[in-house]
Amino acid sequence: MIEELYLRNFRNYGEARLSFSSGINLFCGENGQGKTNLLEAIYLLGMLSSFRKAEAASMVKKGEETFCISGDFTGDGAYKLLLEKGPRGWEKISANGSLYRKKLDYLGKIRIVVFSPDEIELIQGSPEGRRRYIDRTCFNTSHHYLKQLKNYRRVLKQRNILLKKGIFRGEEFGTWTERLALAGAKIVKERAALIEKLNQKLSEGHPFLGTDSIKLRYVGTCTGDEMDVSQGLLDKLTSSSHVERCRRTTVSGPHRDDIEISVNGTVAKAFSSRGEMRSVLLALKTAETALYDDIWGESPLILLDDVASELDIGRRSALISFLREKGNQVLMTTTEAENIPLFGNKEDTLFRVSEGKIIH
Amino acid sequence: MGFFAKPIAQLIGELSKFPGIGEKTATRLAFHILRSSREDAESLAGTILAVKEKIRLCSKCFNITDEDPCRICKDTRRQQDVLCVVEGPQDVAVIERTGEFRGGYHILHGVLSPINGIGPDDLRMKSLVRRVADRDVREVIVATNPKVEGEATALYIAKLLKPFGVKVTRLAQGLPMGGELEYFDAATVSAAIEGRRDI
Ligand SMILES: Nc1ncnc2c1ncn2[C@@H]1O[C@H](COP(=O)(O)OP(=O)(O)OP(=O)(O)O)[C@@H](O)[C@H]1O
Ligand SMILES: [Mg+2]
Ligand SMILES: [Zn+2]
Repeated sequence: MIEELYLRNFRNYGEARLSFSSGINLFCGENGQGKTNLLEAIYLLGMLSSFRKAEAASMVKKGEETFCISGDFTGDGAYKLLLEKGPRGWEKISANGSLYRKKLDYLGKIRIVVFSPDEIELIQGSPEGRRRYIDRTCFNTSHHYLKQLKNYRRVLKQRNILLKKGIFRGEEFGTWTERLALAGAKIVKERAALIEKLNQKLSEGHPFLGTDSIKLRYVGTCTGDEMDVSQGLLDKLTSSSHVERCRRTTVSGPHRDDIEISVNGTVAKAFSSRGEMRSVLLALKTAETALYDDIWGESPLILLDDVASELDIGRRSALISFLREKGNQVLMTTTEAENIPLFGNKEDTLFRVSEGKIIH
Repeated sequence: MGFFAKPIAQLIGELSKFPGIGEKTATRLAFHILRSSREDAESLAGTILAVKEKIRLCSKCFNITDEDPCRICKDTRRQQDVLCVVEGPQDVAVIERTGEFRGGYHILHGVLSPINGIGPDDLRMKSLVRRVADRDVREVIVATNPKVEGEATALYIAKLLKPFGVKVTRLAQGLPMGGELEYFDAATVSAAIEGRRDI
């Protein structure tokens, strides 16, 4: 869990210091006061990226040059994480006083699951967002995944340069194609294994959808074990050679794959109701939460942004009691505290947020 | 740097071109040179020039050398039928330090990387094929770094040498993926040579 947070010149915050409690931490305030900014800072501290598709450079308070975020976490280890962003990029990325030069080595110390209004994109949006979600979740379950993904992207980039130059045959091109198939198969294998595990969790039931059954399916070029996928990718790359020649880029492989989310056999994208999509998302995210519980023996930190605007009171109650039961620490935002049912246990804390200031 | 006299500013400029040397370190080095004796400065300048004048590439293995063929290529006690292919001269030094390998070398001077505009023709590939074709080479050990480019280069070499029926092996994966041979200790590299595998 997160125990303390310190912000300096982050978004609309000048300086702020907060202590959290182990239950629900509720941030209440009018629109545009800095509630989401706070969740964003914590997410950034753990993941080095925003859940709002924003660049860290835009998060420096207007008129300032640098921001600083630091936080104290306890769990399977105690971490003091600290970030400093300057005009030319990250100036400091540190954990327990050690500086990290490579983001990859810093990442993975804490796990955070976010529910925010933007997450609906996961269902409605393009495959890219779903791939990003699956990749992030793969990384959170096994840290070597990011290295594999980086390798795949690097091979892909190398091969695409050859295609751009109009080189699409010969020993050199063939070499990069083979390497791409090998690297791609590793990605497909990890993603498929994760989806298997999420499906397992989803089938164990969830308090948000009644008896509906949610299933994920990896929609990829190939399936099977790593060797099969590698061979399949190689065949696919070879057979789509004419398309690659026209488009001058690699058109098949895990960077084009998708994840299909279906409810009772129907693809969720086709749903008409936003509320229903929300429920599917909640089920998915709780499955993810449960998975981290299993793997790390520790509940992830839950960030809930503005759930009241998207979920009806029944679903809100179900969500909150579910999280309470699991013992997750929750940080949530709302414009009206009355919108949050079941709030006010002794392990809960209410914060009032107004114009970049926090009143305890 | 405007507040330094021109010659010293120029020296700082030159020194800061070195990898890993920022302006701060370059300034410290430049002042060190300034304070040192005339003899020391001349010796440094002379040594730098000598490197450029005396060092060339061995016509057989393309290692840097001051005599051609180089000492390793000349050494008849070394195994003549095993070649170890490396990216650069520094890698030869690393492998020699282990004492594990007693064959010859072939230095590519780089790895395949379209991003950097490097293809097979920019590396010493043709000469590798020629060496394998001309001599009784039994085994080629590809010791390129276990990074994306090093792996691709290894695979390329394996394909290239396939027609010659020579055994092509790769260093064992004791080496962490993404690492550079240069920075591993001798024990790690020596274990990797021991456990090399076919490609
Ligand atoms: N770099 C920045 N410097 C200064 N202020 C910023 C910066 N980035 C964003 N802000 C301000 O932060 C405020 C938005 O904060 P935030 O998104 O946290 O609001 P919120 O409290 O979540 O509101 P809502 O209830 O509408 O979601 C806006 O007033 C915006 O102008
Ligand atoms: Mg908000
Ligand atoms: Zn030589």
